[in-house]
Amino acid sequence: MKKAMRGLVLGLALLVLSGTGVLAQDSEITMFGTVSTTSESAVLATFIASIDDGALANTSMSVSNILGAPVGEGFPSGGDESGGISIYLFNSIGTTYKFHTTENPDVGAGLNPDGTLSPGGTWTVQLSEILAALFPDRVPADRDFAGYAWVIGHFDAVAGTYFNAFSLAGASQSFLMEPSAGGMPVAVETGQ
Amino acid sequence: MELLLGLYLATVLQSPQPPPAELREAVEDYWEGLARGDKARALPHVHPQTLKAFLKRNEPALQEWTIEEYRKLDSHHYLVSTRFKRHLPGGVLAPSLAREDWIHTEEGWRVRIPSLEEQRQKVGQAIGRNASLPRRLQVLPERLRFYRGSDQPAVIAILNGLPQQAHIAEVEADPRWLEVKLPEDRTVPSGGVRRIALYRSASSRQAETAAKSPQEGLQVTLVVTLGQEVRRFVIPCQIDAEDPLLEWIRKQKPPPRPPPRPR
Repeated sequence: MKKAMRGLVLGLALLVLSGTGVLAQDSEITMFGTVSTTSESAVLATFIASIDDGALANTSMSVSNILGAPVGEGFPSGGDESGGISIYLFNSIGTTYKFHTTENPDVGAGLNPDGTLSPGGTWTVQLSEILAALFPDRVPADRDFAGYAWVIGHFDAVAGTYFNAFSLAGASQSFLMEPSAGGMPVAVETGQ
Repeated sequence: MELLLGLYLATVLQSPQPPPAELREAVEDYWEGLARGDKARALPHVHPQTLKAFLKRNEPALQEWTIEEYRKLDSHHYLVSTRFKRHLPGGVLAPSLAREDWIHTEEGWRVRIPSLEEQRQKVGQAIGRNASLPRRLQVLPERLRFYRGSDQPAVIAILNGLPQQAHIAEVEADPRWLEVKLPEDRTVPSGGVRRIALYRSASSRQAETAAKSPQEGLQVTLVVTLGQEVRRFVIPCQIDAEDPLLEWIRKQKPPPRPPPRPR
């Protein structure tokens, strides 16, 4: 009986120590804050676009390192507290483009000179700026993009918002970047 | 009596002077043009050096504009604040404020339209961006990667934080593997950035050749001059690089299906 109790306590302790990552592994969902690494966190922007160098449509993004907010009371961190940001752009024809702030510290505003983002910091950027940096040899008309993006912070807690402006239609959209599971479709059971 | 006269004069001198009539006329005609959606009417009031920024700017639909303040910075420069309501989707009218620099030129008063870059820098400074580059010549990235299955170019960024202009003299790369797209303007101004795109050459994309991809030893040499000084940067290069982050993204799965209903 004692052995069984000890085993139960040990098991519970392991569950607590390993955190919600265990739950994520069981359900095969990667939720915010439960990615398998302590040095990266990811969010999803489900629709972003830049048309005609941003003149007809453009997305403004704000990506924050929320570890240090508010000052001194941020999230506990077991990994990197500051780091760069990678954006993976997936367009409608299945092409992937990769952008890393540590290779482009001049793009957007709010980064440290080495392209990293400190706790409490926010990087703001327009998609048209990112595309101009990725394709410096192309004329603006050849770097249109519409699709979705994974935003990966190389630190423990990334969060973001994005704003789509369609000047031709006089319309705009504003969204929170979502934890991965929130942006994925939910399985439907009809019972048939 | 003298004291009263002195006080009166001091009050008159300290009271804000009305703006020049020509300035008021120009400002009002400019805003009337914007409110009517008539960019051509507003155009003659725009400073000739900022015409491009004005033509590129997307004008919001607006109404109910009111000039709030003419602040005199000097006899040739006023800062004009205008309150207006901006139309947003859904019939929302958002109260907005514009502060614009009006400069007196030989042709009359003209409004200076800030470029997108100027606005971005202003926002950047407000949120704590280090506006100036580190005081050195920096070349990024440390390693060029061409990812497997991707047609994305690898890009060399040259960031010039030095007080003098730099010049891209040469980029050496093995043409069997890489194609270099040099920018038309090879100068890197002080405080500026210039980028060079590199693509995999057509021959290296062929499967047979790619199988013999020189994973070791492939490199790009960049030669930059700073006046008489010549600096050489050697950047190792990797073909068919694996991307662990992309692999991680590919492994993402939708939520699990709910348990089957009991029959």
